[in-house]
Amino acid sequence: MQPIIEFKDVSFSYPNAEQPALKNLSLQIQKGDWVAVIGHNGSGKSTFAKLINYLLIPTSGSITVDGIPVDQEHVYDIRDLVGMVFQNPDNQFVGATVADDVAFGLENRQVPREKMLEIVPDALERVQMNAYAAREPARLSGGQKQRVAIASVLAVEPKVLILDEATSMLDPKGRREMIALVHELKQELGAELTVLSITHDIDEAASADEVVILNDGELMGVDKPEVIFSDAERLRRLGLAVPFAEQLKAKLKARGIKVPETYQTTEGMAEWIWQLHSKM
Amino acid sequence: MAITFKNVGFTYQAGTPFATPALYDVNFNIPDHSFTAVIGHTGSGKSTMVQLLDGLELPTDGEITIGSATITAATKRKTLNGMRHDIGMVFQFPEAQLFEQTVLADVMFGPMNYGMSKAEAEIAAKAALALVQMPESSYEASPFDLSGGQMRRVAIAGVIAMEPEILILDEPTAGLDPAGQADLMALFANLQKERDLTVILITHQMEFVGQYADNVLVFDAGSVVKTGTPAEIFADSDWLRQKQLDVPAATQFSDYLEAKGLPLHGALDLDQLADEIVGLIGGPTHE
Amino acid sequence: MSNMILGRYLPGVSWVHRLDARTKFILSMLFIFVIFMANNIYGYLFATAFVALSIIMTGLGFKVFFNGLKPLAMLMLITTFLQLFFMNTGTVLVHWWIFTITTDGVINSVIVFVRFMLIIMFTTILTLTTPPLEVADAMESLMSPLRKIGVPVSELALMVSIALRFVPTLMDEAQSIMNAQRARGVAFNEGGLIQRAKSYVPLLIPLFVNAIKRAIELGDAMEARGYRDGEHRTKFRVLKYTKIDGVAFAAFFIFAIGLFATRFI
Repeated sequence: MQPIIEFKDVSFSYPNAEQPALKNLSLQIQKGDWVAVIGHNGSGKSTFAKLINYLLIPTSGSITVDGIPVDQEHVYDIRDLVGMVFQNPDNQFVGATVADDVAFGLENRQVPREKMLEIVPDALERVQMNAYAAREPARLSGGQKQRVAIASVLAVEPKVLILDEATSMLDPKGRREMIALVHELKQELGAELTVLSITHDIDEAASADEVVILNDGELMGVDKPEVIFSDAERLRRLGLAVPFAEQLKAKLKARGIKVPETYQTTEGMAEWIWQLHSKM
Repeated sequence: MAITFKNVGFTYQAGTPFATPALYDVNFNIPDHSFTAVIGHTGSGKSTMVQLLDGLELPTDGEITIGSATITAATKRKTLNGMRHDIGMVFQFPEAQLFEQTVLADVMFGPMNYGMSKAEAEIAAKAALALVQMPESSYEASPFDLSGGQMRRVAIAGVIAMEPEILILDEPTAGLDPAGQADLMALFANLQKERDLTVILITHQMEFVGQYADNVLVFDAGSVVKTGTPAEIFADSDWLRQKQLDVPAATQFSDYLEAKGLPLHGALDLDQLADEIVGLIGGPTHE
Repeated sequence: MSNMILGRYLPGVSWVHRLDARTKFILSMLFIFVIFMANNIYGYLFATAFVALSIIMTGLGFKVFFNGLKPLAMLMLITTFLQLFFMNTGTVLVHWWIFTITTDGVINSVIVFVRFMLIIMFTTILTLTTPPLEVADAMESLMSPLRKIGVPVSELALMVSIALRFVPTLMDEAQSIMNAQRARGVAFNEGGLIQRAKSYVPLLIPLFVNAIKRAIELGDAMEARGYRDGEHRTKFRVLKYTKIDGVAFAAFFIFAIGLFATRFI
């Protein structure tokens, strides 16, 4: 099957930078997957995301989305395929009101007004923001603004949704609600939507289909979360968070307890301790 | 310096049609040299409380005592400027306060405003920069050329250099990566011990509360609804969840096992949890 | 800053609120010309009555309109005061050195004052009853003929609408930077003029740097959402003339004729 996103030997340097932000990155992302991209700040995660929809232009190498080359000629086709939600809720809200903001992408695509009048409320409905259609951004919480940003993306029906640390400026409640919302949408759209989430949230990454680790502009690994997260030593070395169960395992091991060698979820770990106790 | 809030109330734009009450009848006591965590969901009044504490706003009702000073609705705003000297404020995203041409000059700015001579300020600034682990090579750099994490450290150094007795941290780790967050929290804990500060930490991250705080204030709907040690606060996780708050992952895990019938008692961090589990299964199992 | 009534929108449900922004905009502009037709006390009384009636119809009360005059009070006083000396005809009331105040001068300055006040009051109706964004839409719509001569009307309108949208965001940010600098010992609004001006440097530099950062991020977000240029876009937000706009134009027309008629009393 043709991958939805393909990077072939892609490098990128910011002007005046000593080090390239990405080095010879080759990577395939399969259609319909939920992929988490992790790495410490400055590891090249956001650069990676911005290359996908031609906000940045690779210094060398090539990228395709759904088989279409990402270049000047196809830039608007690519942007129809890729929707992006950024980190700062305030700096991506273009419209004067919630409804206007959702309409912005449609206006750019010259969708007739009658159609917009159908699409906008529909998109807002899907993120449960319909009641706020006439609200100005100053009167919304960060979490609500990010939901509007998702609605704006949904309105143009992209195949790829990129979340560029989209929950990092939200409070825990806002974060949970947003992740739940994207999961719901993913469930609804199935293979029609590929989610690429750049995140520091270990719990979110643990529920992804694939995890990509970037470190100082280099690809350190692509694998299933259970493989990536079982190597707690490597995660620590790369300045990344370690899942709770793995942290506990390390603490128990240090206290002379023999722990399971394979990856454990939090529930799995609880189960293991419970059994150990009941055997006594 | 100890801090006391007595029946404190505050209303934004009081006396206008836009009046919005933000705090009601807030009472608490923060002992000298303690590490106090303030938790509560967004809009519960935490940030407003901090603004009152730093004299950026005056209470509409009640009385605030900080050391020997008292602030009420009748306090003159001008006298507040002097009071602020003892209080170091690290606001959310403090890097937004950087403006000088060099890192060193920016860190010296606060101390000089509060009357230190240039030479004194430079010594204080260099000590603060060393404390936040900024390399000496960065002192003459423009703060705007630094990475986000470094800008954060420089901004924090700018507050520490004023040598405050109380340090207030409003979500100081927001937006940093996990390693950066852990580093910064360790730095604050170390700073509190070394300089014997009173630290007030506003945070959503319960791991840090469990790990560092010896005192917790829970805000809800503009009032303090509970105070206690982290162990006392996290003992009732259902109540916290009602207030839209979490418990540390270790506590959550321990509660889960306790509900399954294991005799565990709400560990606050991983070490405690691991110790309890070891006790439970009767010592090491390695052959 | 929040006391600035000028350019501030007060929501309401009056007829005036419901008028198309373009109607209010055009009538405000016309009023500035029409008012010059008044050349005697009856004309000004008639115009004052018309403005008063219009204000009553907004349902906002006179108070907010008088408050709106305050920031401009100085400008009005200076203009009026200067008028006192411009007229040399009529009976001399005061003569001192090169200054002469005559009866005509006094009458003239009263007229200028009244005219000034009426114009400000009437145009304030537009800003008080129309969301800023609709004012921008109205300007875009009215300026659209300029597209033919290459004026990027749509881009300008989008710029204005984004600027308006960011006003509250930047105000909040200014407030929080101010708090942070006050905590570092800056005393805003204290000391002499130079010291005051200096105290704003630690506010303005971060505000400026952050505004640029925001602008860059906003640019990325707009591009990511498929923005190319101002022309090749459809519009979600439209202005629509309704019956009440016809009534408003008719009423204004009658007023203009009436005002013209007062010249012959």
